[in-house]
Amino acid sequence: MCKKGLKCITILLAAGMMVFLSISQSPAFQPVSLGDTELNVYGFLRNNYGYFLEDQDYTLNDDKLATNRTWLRTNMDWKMSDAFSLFASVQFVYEPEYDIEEGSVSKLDGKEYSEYDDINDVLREFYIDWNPSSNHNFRIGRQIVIWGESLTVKVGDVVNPEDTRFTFAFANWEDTRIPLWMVKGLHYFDSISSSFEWLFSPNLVGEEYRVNRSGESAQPAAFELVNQRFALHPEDRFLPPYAVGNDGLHAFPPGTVVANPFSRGWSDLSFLGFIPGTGWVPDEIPNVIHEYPDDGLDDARFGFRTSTFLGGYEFGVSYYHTQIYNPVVKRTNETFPSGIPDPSAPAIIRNYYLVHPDVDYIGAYFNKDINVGLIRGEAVYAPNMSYNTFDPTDFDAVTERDYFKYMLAWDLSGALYFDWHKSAPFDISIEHVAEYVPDNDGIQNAIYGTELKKYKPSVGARITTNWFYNLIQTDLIVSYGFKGEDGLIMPLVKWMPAWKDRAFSAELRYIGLFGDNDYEDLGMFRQKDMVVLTTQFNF
Amino acid sequence: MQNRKTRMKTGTAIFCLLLCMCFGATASAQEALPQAGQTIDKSNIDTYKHLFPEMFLEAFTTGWELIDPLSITIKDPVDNPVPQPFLEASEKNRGKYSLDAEGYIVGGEYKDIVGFPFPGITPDDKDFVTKFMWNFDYRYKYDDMESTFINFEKRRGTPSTTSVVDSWLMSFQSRMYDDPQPLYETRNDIRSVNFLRVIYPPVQKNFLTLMIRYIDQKKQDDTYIYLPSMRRVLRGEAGQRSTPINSSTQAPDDFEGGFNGRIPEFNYELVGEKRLIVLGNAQLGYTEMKNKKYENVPVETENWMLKDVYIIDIIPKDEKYPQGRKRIWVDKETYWPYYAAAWDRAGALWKVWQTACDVHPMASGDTVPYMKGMLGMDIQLGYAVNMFADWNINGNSLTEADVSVSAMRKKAR
Repeated sequence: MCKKGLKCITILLAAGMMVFLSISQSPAFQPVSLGDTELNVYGFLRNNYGYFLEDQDYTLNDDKLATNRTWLRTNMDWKMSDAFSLFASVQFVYEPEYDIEEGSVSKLDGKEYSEYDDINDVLREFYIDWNPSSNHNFRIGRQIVIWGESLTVKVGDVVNPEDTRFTFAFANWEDTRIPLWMVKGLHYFDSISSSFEWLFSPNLVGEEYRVNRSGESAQPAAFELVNQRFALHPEDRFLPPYAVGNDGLHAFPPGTVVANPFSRGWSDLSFLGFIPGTGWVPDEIPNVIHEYPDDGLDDARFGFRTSTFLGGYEFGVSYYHTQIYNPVVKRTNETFPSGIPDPSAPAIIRNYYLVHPDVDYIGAYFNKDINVGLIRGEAVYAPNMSYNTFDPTDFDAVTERDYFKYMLAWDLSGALYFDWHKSAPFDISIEHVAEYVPDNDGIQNAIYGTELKKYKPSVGARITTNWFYNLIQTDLIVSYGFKGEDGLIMPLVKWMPAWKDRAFSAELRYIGLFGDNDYEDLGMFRQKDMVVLTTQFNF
Repeated sequence: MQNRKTRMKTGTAIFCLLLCMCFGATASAQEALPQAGQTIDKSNIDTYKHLFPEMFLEAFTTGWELIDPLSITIKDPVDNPVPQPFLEASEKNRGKYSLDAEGYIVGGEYKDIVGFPFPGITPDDKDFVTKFMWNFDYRYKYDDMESTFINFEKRRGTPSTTSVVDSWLMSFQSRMYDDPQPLYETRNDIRSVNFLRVIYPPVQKNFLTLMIRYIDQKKQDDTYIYLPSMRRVLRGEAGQRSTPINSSTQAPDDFEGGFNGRIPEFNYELVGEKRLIVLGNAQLGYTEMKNKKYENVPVETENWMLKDVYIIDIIPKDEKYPQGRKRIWVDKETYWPYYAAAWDRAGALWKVWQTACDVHPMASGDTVPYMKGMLGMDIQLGYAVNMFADWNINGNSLTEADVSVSAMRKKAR
């Protein structure tokens, strides 16, 4: 009852803010003149309110509230002179405690997703632009950098990690990016119609913000039996009847088995072979420690991107040195620290860490306007990239393989007019994306025991138009993965009335997913079908 | 008998006199011209309807329920000459260029064209209308320009809204005042760039559009947009030139007073010549209008005057083009259109535009014909936009870097 009351208060608070802002003379702050400089303040108040359409596994109740996230973001853009400007973006977010996550690792009282007391959340962006001349720009501070050509997936777009704990396909992609402190230079060379962009980031954000943040899936072995609501489906195939193990040796609930092969110790109970569930069984399960990339120079990230216009093509290459943003499991052999007598312990023990090894992304991209539409393409190559696959035959158990990913797209804009809807065209964009792992032997798909496909192609399409000069916008987004026979269907309609200079908008979105199984590709999320209403007031 | 003949002659004379008076009166009514200071509104529009495009007359009666019914005041015509250096450069092209079968200019390198490519053409030239449109395309606008403009928009039945846009425009060819001149050479042979940044309303703030036209007449335009919601500079495609931009009835092909299409992609017909009442010396710009609120879309009512125009029909060669036909009313001297109208592919009147032209001072102290604003109405869907601009023409020291994709990335927020 209390939680439901809190949800109501949230909604009422959001509505109240909108009403308050609506009755003011103007929804937008007027630019403020500070001497010869000008300060612009603007932002939005937004609420995402969504419901799951299916029952969710790994929950303790049948609640279906998928999201009730209220954002307040304020941007300040201060042009100090022709050469200098300062931009700051401050964000506060409130989310309630979700019944559906009761029993999970989520912090209580909505603190898992609310953003109000951590500078890493609240100060979203803060940077100074310095333009010593029109050909050169330096941007210093916390910022977002977006590379690449793909609009539906990330190929060369590898700079900022992302936080997807709070969303599933309904938030702006931009809002999931975690800004990083960095120095970025952009230099334009007239004589060759080219630009060169470079950046250097010493990882000065909080350690959790240096890598991807995603919802934790349930640990069916023993611990958290409840998913965070947007987490992928847990690997539960070692639960009985698929499991091997011994219920009688561990203080785990009957019927559950500890996941292999993370055990430090094993017991051979094969002599009890007449008892079901015996054989080699794990008997010492270590904790897994998450090691984040260091700040400073050791794990500093850096890279560059070029851009050239020639013969109707825009093209360039990119390079970025960073760390794997999703953790991989690493095994170490360590001795006990000297001075701690433990005669019963082995001389060498194994510890397990979630780590983020270095990775180098080497990319290339192009786009060109052709007679019928526009083509875009990009590719990225990561040599010896680490996979979230535990290889017990290897010293540190980290599996490294070469990785390729590419995207080819065709856009048709401004061509499909119909007499019954002539004020705007139907624009179509089709993207083909594929991942290629030349040597996929033994590589697991995400956290699963399922083998990763050597070549994994997919195709996505978006059809969009607007009605009555942007009063209504309609989109249909679909994608299909050929290997996993999985996909996404996402129609949306957005209404933006003239009221207060189009300050208000309401968007209704359906997110439908399908897939063959719970352990591959989008099938990992196939229970996440939902409808989401997004209301926003811009000021 | 004599008396009878005399009476017949007298009767015939009186009949002829009456006939002449009757014709004379009719002619006088057809040619009624307003005097300076006179007001034209719905009470007397019938008297002067021959001085407006037929499809614009409703502006004086219902205003399509988008603008207040017009009540305009006439002033004496003002001169708005094309800059002398441009005319002098044009004279060097006399007889130099001609057209090929597809309507492209031949007779020299495109990048060497400075001024009007066909100076002094008259309607008796067999290719008059196409050559006229090339002159229209090459007319002098600016070397560079910075501006801010406000749009008043209205969807029928709803209150008007506003948007504010900053723009930077550059000509790389036929530069008359700022160095380098007359050609600012670039690696990609850019002819002109139009760079727009929305600064209001907040929902569209920092939306950027960059439109590039090349010196090579056979090379497609390029368009780039920056979407703040995606934080991404995206390349558009040529087809988007017929898609209205945000907060406007105008697509890029409708810019610059009503027509800004690529000349060879259309066929042209000379409909006739006429004297029209036009908004020829507009005074209302961003500064005057920025803090105003209106129920309907406002229109400047002073500074209307008589000007001579050519009437030209523009028919797209592409059958899929959303407009089946466009008509423009173009000043014979300045090549600026005062009115434009577009019909859909089914032949129904769709959009009507009216341009607020201006005798615009340049940094050099000379003046240049330019537009101060542009009223556009989609009369089928009931949507109207009027733009009021402040332009700083020339002397802005813009470079290629200022109007490049790189500049979009610098301005991106």
